Amino acid sequence: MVHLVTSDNVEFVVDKEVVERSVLIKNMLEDVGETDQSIPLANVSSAVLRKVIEYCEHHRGEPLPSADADQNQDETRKRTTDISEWDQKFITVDQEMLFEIILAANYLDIKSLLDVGCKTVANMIKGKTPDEIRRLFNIVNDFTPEEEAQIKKENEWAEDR
Amino acid sequence: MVNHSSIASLLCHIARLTKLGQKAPANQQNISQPIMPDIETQNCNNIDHPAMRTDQIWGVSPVNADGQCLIDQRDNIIHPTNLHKEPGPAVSRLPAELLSKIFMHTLPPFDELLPPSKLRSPMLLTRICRRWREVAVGTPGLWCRLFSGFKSSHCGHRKKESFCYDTWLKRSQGLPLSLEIWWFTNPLTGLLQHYTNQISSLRTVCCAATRDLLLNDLPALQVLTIYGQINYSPWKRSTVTRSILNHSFTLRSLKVSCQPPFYSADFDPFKNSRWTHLTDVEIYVCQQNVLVRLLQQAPNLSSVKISIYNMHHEPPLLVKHEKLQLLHIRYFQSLSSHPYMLNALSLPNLRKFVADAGMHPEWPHEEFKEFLVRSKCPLEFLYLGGGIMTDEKTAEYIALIPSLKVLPFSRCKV
Repeated sequence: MVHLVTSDNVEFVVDKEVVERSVLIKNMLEDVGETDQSIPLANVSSAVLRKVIEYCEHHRGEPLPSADADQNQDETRKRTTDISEWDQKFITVDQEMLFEIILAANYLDIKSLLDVGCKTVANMIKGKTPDEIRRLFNIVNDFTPEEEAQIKKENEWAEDR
Repeated sequence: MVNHSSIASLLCHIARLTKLGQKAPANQQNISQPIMPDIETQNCNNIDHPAMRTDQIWGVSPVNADGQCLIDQRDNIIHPTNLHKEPGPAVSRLPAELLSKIFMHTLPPFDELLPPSKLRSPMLLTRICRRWREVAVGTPGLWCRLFSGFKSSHCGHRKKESFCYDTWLKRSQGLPLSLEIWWFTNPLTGLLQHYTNQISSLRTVCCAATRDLLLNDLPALQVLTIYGQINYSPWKRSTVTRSILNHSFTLRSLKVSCQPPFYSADFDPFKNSRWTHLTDVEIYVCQQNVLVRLLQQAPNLSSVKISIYNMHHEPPLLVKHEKLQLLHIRYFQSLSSHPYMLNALSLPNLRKFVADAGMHPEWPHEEFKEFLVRSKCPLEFLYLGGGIMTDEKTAEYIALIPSLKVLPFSRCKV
């Protein structure tokens, strides 16, 4: 079992096979070997780690994506935005939690979870107008009039549909 | 169990990760780097157990305490968990690298090249806010695919459109390009001169512009698809075909869905050229011996889909191809009367065979059985169309290859 301590000082005891879906932790454990010492995860809160562990538990035993999968630009581009039913249900959380999960997955180096998070946000973006996207993510349109003009010039030739 | 120094080393590793954050975006790195990197490095290097923070070690000096204060301030800027306490939209906490990764998933499916639209990625992403624009423009992978259909014959519009295509392609920053081009004239061919080294996939229509483009040196070209009608003039047809030949050494995939056929009696693209990297072919040809020629010249082919118009040419002697896994033949004359092709082939790795008989339901049953015996292939699926299959024939094939599934052509998905 592996002991993890979150940023809000909550300790989790997790099965090694589960926690090793995190490449960061897997590498650490390989470097150090068996230990009873807790691993501090100062970038992850308990609420987020609970979700991350839930994901890792569900995907326990599945093969890990290859380390260089992300390096391959073609593979990245070919990947679809399909998300499995369980993952979709798992990632149906509020935006705060969604982005925290993405950050945690990136920090802990859990590629498949990072993909699920990124695809979910991508799916939220697709098919929306700029105004709808700004409203959805609470983004302020901070373009200057000059920038707006430049964008308009760039986009003049593109279709409106 | 491990000794204390190993654990200390682990904790130091974690502490470093904690302090430095994960792959912060360029703008955050710029903010964080000037703040006390030396003091942090010094603390880590000067003590035996560098994981310990300055407030945990013995004899904290006031200078170090100040340094720690600055490090903590920096941590508060970088740490994602702390960032959520800052005002502003949640999405703004994502570092540029992650936003870029999300943006990549907003692109349409890989094989779907759509005309640029203000309402689709990547252009859509440049219109949200300055940060999104900066990240989108700085993500070359978003700009590697372009569908270009020439919209206007007006010279002024052409210039404007050319400028915009150029803006798009520049953002690809040298990455391999997938282009779909629907120009029937060549006013923009010149624009692509700057990008010929990048073009790795080209889908286009058959026209003079295509010919001119293919006459360029395209050292990265791997996938070439040509749609539409090749001009009936044999001269024009062969000039386009010859321009394709320039790329026989680099192409991995060649699909020419033009009619009349790519191959013509007066010019054989597979006769004297070597197609070393070719793995995937889809072509219309006149004679069935082209398939045999193709297999001779392309030793790495794994998939061939070929439509044959004329069955009357006798192919050369037996050809054995070790790598072909999928063979899809569509024929427009009776294969039964001229089964030369089947007699000439031995395909020991064939896994899927599709025969689309069209209007000619006769099937060279005996020749096909001989082909199976000769090839000793691990055939898994046999799709036969045009009513050429009977239960009796099916049983004979399964007797030869017990694992074989014989299915009607309508269930074939290739």
